Amino acid sequence: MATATEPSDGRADRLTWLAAAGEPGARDFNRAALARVVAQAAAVATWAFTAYAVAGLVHPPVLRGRMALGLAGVAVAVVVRATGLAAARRATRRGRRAVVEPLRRDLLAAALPDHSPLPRQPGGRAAHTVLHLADQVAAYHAHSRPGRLAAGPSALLVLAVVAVVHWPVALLLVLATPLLPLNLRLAGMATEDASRRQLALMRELTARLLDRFRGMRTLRTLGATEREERRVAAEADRLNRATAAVLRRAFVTAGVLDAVVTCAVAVCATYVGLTLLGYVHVGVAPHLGLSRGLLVLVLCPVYFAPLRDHAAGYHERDEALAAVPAILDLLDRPAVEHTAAPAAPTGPGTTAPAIVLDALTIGFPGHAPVLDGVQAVIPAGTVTALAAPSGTGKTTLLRCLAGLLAPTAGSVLVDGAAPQPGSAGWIGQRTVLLPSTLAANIALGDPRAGCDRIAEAAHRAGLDDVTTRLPDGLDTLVGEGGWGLSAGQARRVALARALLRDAPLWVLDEPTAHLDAETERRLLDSLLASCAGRTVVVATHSPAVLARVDRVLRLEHGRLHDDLAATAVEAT
Amino acid sequence: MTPLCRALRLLAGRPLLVLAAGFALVVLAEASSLGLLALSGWFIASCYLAGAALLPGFSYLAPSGGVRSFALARIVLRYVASLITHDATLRWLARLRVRLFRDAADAGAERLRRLGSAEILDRALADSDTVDRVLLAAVVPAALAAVALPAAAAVTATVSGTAAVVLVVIGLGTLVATVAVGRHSASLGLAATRGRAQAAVVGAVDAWEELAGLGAVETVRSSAVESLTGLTRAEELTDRATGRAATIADLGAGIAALGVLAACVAGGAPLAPSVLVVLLAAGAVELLGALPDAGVAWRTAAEAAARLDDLTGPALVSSVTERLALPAGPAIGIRTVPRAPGAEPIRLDLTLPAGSLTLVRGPSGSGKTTLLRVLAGELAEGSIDLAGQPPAAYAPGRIVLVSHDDHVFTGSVLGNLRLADPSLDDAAAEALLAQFGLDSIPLTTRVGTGARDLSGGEARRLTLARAVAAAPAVLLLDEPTEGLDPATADQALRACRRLLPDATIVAVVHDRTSGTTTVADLDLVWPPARR
Repeated sequence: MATATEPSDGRADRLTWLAAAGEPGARDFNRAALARVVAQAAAVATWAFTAYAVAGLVHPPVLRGRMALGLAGVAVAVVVRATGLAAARRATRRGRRAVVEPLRRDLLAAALPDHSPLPRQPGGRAAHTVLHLADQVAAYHAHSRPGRLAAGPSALLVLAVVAVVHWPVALLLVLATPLLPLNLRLAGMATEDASRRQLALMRELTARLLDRFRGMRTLRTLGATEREERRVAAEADRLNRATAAVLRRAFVTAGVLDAVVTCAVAVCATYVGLTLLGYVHVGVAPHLGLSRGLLVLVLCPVYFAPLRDHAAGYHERDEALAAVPAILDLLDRPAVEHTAAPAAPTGPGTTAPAIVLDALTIGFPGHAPVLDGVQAVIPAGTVTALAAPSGTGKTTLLRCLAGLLAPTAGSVLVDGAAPQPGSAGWIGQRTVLLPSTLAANIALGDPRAGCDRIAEAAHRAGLDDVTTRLPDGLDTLVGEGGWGLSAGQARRVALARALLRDAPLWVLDEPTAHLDAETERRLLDSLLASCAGRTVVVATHSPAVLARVDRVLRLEHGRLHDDLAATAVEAT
Repeated sequence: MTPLCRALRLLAGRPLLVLAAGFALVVLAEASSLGLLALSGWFIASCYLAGAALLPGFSYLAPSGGVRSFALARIVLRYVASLITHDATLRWLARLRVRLFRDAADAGAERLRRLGSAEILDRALADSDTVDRVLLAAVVPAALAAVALPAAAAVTATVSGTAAVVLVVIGLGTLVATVAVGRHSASLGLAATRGRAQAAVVGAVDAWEELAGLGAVETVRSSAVESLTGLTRAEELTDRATGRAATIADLGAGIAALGVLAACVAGGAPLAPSVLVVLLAAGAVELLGALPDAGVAWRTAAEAAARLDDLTGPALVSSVTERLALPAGPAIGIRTVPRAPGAEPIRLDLTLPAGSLTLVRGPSGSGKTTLLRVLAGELAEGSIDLAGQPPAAYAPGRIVLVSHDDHVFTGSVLGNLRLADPSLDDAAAEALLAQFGLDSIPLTTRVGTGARDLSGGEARRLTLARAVAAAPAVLLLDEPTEGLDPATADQALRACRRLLPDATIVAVVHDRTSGTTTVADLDLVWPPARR
């Protein structure tokens, strides 16, 4: 992945992107914020009525009416508050969905592009981004945005009430407020860097753990499981240390806030108490009675509550911001541009193309070119075998012919044009089966195909003995990674797809590997029968295949050797 | 015992002590928090009474010192409690992951094959994380509410018995209603939906090259979009159920506080203690608000733990404790062997001489791979005699089977070789690679996921070199020449023979393979004629 584009590291860019990602939910979040302010007003009213009622206890018999009024007020306020909070949750839920749905769609489109991405992301990583990171972004907006919008009005509302009741306490609250955002911002910045490193480490270690699971059989036979178990434990410890470092900093944010809230309550209590005792008197302050004193005390934590939600948002924003590079890495993945859309399935009526390779060079940054100035003409309607020692770029050349890989230099022309993805029937070295029925997997070759055509394709690919053995025949579910089918059987599914696809150009990468002589012969019969009117390029070692093709090209040291055209003539 | 409880047992020892300490701190921190407000209220009420000369002998010094102490304790305890509870969680997660690895290492061949699927593994790891979250999201908040409610009721009872009863009744009612609603939200099966969506995305993305070749990208993408939409909907439904529970908790908390207030007021309780219990009760019932989310977290974790158990259940733990050391290059006696796993064993009475290289040729489906798996002790079938014992009796690592799709681990070429021999130095590794014609590949070459950055032939030879590096007594090769041209294949087989001169080697190949016989001592056609 050395060539992966490093997304801009600029914090400002990521913040801009993050803010824009939340736009689809903006209306719902505004509503949620409004409902929260209403709930906050109800909370203030609850405490006001409570303080009003409690004061009735000073002279109980005299003030019964006052107590009844206070209790009734509390009851109404409690219901209003619960209703407001419920409305806020409902609106937030809608907003979250509005954010996550388009984001997931965009990410999926980027992970499964029409054009070839360079380089490709492994499925597990892409799925993590599509499912988890997209949700993290939506969760950040859902948790922080209504809170952020409501924080100012809610706090002002409380402050206004406190100012009316007893303004010196309001002054205290105002003085304490600037301590909050400043520290939150500093702590947030410190957290973000550690959190990004922790995310990268987590990715890496998780990938390594998954890889070990996949190769567990190999680890067992090599007697390496106990060694690797110790390494898994050591890696988990390493990750824990990185996570703990993030948490230590993240909790400072909450700690600072706690300190401010706590001090404000303590100072307020002391001030109110001493004022009531008559020890303290602020010159122009209004008279402070019991109800007013209690009310300003309980409103101190209420004042800070919305600011605290906002602070929780800071922490989640750090998480979301740390996720942004991974999201942008997938969204902004450069694709190999093609001039036309992927070709639609074509019938046998289309004529077989001729292929011209002109000074074709393919290399990856930091490596010697895999193909170096390959020059060849493959006539229309021929079956050409590509023979080469292992590891000399056969697969790379095939990918290029199928339009899945663009040349670094030189050109590939199929009927005079650059090949488009989807224009060639392809069987790769690794056949991946989707979690679906065998029939649905074959039907990927042509979604319009009916049962009979699918069954015919399966039959021609030599799948009969497989379908008769499977419990539900073609309707049997086959798993991801070809689970339940052997490598050879998976290859036959890929062959069936190509037969169904019926493209004029076939690109086959060792199509008969893992098949026994009899099956290979049968398969080759149907393959060659289907090759009439098609151009076929097949990479192979099999003498049986080499003996039956029209022409053999040999690739050595990144070049096609012309003198071997003579062999081709012999073979014909 | 439920799977989640089985997972919780992994806390035993240090993580449990850390968690207990963390929880004690959480309780103390919350007590300081509630105490701060309640004491402040009591202090203000008392000052009012003292100011009005209704409370003779009142001194403000002790209570205001108490307020300061609570304040300081709250700040410090909250920070430390967060750190310690998270530490316990992380320790537990590490154990969960190691257990998953160990269970997989001990799992039978069939389960292991299922575990080899990326989709299932991804889900298993995500499930471990979900299980891990249960401590902070469910256990700690629920335990806190469970401690706070009786504690608040006990304090309240000293002021007004009625108020205490009201607090307990409404608190318990809220608890029951919340749990009932939470149970409903759990039945929506969000985790399973997420797992399916994940499988759909992983499968589709990994199949991209083929799909592009087939022009089927759009078809598969739209089916994946469908499963994503299903997921988003399921998430919203679960959210809604949780929201309902939260509303119940909000109302319950409000009503409980109101009830306590009303009981105090109606009973004509003394002012300052009444203020204290009203504030205390209001704070304590507020903690009930965390219950809906806690319930969801518990249910989700239980589902995840059940799936994990399904994958690598306790029944799979291997019972073999002591294994023998296998001497180099034993003779192999094959008395009986099945054609396929579970099939009737066939009597053969063959002996492969000590230190020989045997080539076994046969068509697909003739049981060649089954033979190797029986020889490796992966399948406990048939009757095999390795130096007088069945293969499973020997310590792992002495009989190495290189399957036809042997895994190449992500990382470097050297890293792969060192899996087999951790003490292998660079020079030895380079020499080993050279024997397999891989000297053009630098040791630090990254092989990519599933060896995508190597050609098929290179990956094949790397797995052979790796097996040789393990220096096994018996080397079993499943189609070692597949994907290699005849010259390279011959070189690879000769390298195995040369580097392991004493080992007994068995290589199975297709009947059509030619040109690899020059190093073989024995050339068997499979299946051999019955005796």
